[in-house]
Amino acid sequence: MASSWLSSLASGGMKAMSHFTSSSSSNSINTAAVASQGDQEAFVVDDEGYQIRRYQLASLRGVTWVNDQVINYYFHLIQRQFPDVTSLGSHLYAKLAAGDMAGALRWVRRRDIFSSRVILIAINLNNAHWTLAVVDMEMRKLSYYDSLQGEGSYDVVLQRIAGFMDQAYAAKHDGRLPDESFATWPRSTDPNLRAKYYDNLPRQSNNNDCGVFVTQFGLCAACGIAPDFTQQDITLLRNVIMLELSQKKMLKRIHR
Amino acid sequence: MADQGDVKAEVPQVSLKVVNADGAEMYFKIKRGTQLKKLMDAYCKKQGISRQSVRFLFDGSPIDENKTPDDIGMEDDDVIDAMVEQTGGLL
Repeated sequence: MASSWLSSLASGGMKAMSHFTSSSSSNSINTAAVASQGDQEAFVVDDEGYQIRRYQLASLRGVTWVNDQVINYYFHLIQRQFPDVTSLGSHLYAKLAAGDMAGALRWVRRRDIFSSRVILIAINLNNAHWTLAVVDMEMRKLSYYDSLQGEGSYDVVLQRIAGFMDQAYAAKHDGRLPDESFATWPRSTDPNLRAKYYDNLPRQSNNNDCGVFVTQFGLCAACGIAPDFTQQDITLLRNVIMLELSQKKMLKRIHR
Repeated sequence: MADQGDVKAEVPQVSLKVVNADGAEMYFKIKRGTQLKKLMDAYCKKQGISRQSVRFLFDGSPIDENKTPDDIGMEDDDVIDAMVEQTGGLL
């Protein structure tokens, strides 16, 4: 088990809501009752417009793919726990990819994203794969998290995100672009950085878990730590995520 | 208060535009006090799509279908985005 990941979260000062330990098996977390009892179509989560049905939550128990409701609500919970973290949701990148910059900018017209420490942007690729782009406002860098460490997507994704950040900045500053374009910020995928960051990411070894990886990448980015969970932790983490979603708050990660 | 008799009080309405991922627009006029669920259901019916496959967002945030335009401070010509459900594992 990824003891360092669990312990590093505990030392990260998260507020204790509930506890779980890395030594507990997934069976000891009573998520079965949450997921299996009652109307499968009923909303288990209906919170500020985020709706998750019981069967969607139950899908986390197995190996099924994760949908946008799960990803976006999880990031919403992260955002609630860390007030200086902003999640822009998984549909922003769909807008950018469709070339609708005006539409994307409309989504941040009433938000002050530039006072955030960390901005999370979940990326859905071809309705098949989840990755994560992070704008680290504090460290002034762009990070890309892909549990496949793919080579094909990060350049275009980060380029689009940088372009969006420049325009969002201009929209808040009378049309003036930032002195230093976001496109010039160091990236975790840069040749001189990727060995330490991009190539070092935990990697999925199956065809199902990228969405689960993305939720935990987001949590690590919010905590300001490097992800060091592994594929072996995913079964446990699926249960943890399910519990967090159904309780509408993050659990504290501790290690014994 | 409006008279309960035959004279109908003028009900304040708001004009909203629903834009889908392809940029196609559809206009709605609804009462400010009407739950947005009504608009969402009408949109899905007109488009012939399942309600579960669409995410209605206002300024990028999901819309609580039980809320009204007044509840979330919508104004004339505001835009609702109808985005498509996304999923992923790995291809």
